[in-house]
Amino acid sequence: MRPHLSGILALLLAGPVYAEPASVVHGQADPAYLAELRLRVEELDLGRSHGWRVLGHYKGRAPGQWLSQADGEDFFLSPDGADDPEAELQATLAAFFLPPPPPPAGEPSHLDQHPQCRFPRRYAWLDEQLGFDPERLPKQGCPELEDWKQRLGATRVTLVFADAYINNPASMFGHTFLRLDKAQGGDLLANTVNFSAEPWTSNPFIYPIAGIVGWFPGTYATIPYYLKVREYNALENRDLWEYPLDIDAEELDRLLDHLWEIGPVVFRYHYFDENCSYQLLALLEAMDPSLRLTDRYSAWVFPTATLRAVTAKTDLVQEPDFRPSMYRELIARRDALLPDERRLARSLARSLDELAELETLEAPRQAAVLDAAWELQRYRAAGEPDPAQRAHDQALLVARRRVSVTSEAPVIPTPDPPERGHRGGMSALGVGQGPQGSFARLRLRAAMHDPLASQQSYVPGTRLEMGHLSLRLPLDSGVPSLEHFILFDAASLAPSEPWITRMAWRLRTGWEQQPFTEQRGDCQGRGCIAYGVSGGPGLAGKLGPLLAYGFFEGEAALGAGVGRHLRLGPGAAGGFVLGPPEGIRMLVEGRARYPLWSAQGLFPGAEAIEVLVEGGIAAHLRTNLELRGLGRLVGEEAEGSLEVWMNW
Amino acid sequence: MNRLVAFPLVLAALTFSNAALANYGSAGCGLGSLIIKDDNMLQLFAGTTNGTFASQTFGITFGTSNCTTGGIVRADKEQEAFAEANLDALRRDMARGQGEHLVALASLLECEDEVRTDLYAFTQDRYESVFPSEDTTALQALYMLKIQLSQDPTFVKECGRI
Repeated sequence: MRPHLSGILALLLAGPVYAEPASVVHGQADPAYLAELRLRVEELDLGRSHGWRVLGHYKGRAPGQWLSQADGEDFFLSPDGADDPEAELQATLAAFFLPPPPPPAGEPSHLDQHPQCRFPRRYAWLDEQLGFDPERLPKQGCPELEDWKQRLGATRVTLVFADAYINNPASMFGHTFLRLDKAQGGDLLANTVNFSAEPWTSNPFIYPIAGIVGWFPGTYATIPYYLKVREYNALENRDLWEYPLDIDAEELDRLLDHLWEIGPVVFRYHYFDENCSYQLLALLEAMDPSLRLTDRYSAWVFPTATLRAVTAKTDLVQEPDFRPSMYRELIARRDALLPDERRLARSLARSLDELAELETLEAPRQAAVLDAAWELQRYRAAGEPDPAQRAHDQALLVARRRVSVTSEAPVIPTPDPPERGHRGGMSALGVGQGPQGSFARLRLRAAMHDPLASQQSYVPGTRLEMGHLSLRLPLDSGVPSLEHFILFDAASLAPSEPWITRMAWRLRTGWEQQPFTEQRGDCQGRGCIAYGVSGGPGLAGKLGPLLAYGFFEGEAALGAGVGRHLRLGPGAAGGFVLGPPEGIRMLVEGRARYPLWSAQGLFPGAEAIEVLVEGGIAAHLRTNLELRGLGRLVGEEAEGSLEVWMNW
Repeated sequence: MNRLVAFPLVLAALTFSNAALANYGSAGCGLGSLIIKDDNMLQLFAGTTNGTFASQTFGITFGTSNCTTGGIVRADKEQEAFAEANLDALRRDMARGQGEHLVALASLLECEDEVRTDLYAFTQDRYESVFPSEDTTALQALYMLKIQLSQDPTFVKECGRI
């Protein structure tokens, strides 16, 4: 041992990079064998193979050029490992020949493990490709890895999708993670594999930018499923979809081995592309390289697109289980009550004054009323009850525990699973007729949904549009003009209903052609563009077949298309959506705004109120194909158009 | 059990529990308020990154924290972590004598299937002694539940970890 100790120490001092491991000779590890294996690797061209690139998370930068998406340096054994898969493979192979490391002096770290244990999936993959001879390359024991797997106790894997959460603009696209199911104990006690950012700031101006640009480090964590259920089902009122994966014990082992490799590694978090969903695809691919899940994605990855990609592999995924939000449970419990019971539950949710009346009911009905009342007051407290609410909460539970019967399970209808909805990208081509003559129109939209589109698998009445470009080509002059480029346009039309008053809201920002032909400062006629922000709170509700809504809005617009280059003012809007989730849908909306400051000066008077009515009818031909007729009325100008919409 | 014997036992248990509870509270996993974000602006944007503060606690790496080793809740802390993280769901389930969270707790107490139905009814029956007030913490409730279960020979026999 002694003669080699200095060599080992020198290597350890050199840090995680094993630059010249071939010079180390120990035990049965045979340097000649390493040389043989290196030749075999060259022959088989393993360093550039798909299977190896998947394990290193390498993505093509340019033809023949690679860059790993892992940012932690300790993920690489070669100094050039981040962008040279072949060098990394050679260094990995050499590191596997190292002698067992000495016991760590201080707090053990993952770097103290033998490379065979730090990179168990690389080892197993290279073993599969090269067929290691254990006589000439001793297999190292990995007690930490074995202990970790044993404590995880995973026997099956489930892909979980947390539904879009419209009231949080940032998680509108949903979230995906894996659940490692145990043989016993139920789903709640399982661990999850969750990729998320670790924000270093809560500054509201920096936070969203950092999330999109990739300034936050992203890492994996194994969070208990009960915490995720609480976070999504109870606190955020989001539904969870659980897709059991059809994988065998060997695939599960590969998944865990790779998870062990990337567990301590930092990846930059990008909201649009290198996000939770992309990382899960990469993880599944490391489990089974033939899945080829990450090849198709480049610019951005929507969690629902991940679901579509994974569920398209029918031999991988089974039908999902649905875990409804607390909100759905509350609605189901409310709907299971008779009118009198409903009134009583609503009263009990506020105070126990009518507890005596409750006792006139039979025990199972008392339980049903108290369950609904408790859930209503929980919903109203929104996860942060004040002391009075907490005391009332406790009093309701004490009343409930005195009714010694079990509750009937609420009947909650299962909605369409999220992967069945239309795709997020859209392009449309249309023709129309306006006061200036006929025109053609081209639209492109990066994401994702609007109230006219097929509502299947989407939250009814929501709008979430990002990167929406509209170009107009007048057929006579042929000079194209920009109608709008909307950066972000979102609206939540969550209807208020018995027991539950919810705020509707919307927010829109982008460059838009200004609708009016009168005074516009420096700009005349069509094509006057201004950048604007508008939005505000409102209410929505179901009126028979209509989903009707109204908003109070504020608006700020900036640019040559606006008098004095700046317009500020309040406005109001109202409208309705009509029609079945699929089939023919209709939307009509009227808007008025009153510029406080415009070309006419401050408080320009009633004649400055701008009124606009627009609407459309969409006929859904297929999930991803529809026909739209759109109309618009501004003052005495009216125009109409017909468009073919395709989602991709 | 004879009442004369049971009374001092309960008394001893309660005295012990009061002393023990003082230390018990500080040994929790801090999961009670892990996800409720105090800062509303932060909450608004946290979804951009799906960042939960749980990530740091459960990061897959070496090392041992108060409750986890290698990012997994340690076996000796499983009950406490679960109770802390699910206080409200457990209150609801115990008051109803049923529910998924109660089933999970029974698993963590390693109760055999045959006594589960009795266990659920027992928790409903003893709700007020397990949760005497709205300020009862998860660790206090867990402790009180286990004290009470440990006085029933059936549960002592059929539940492996009370």
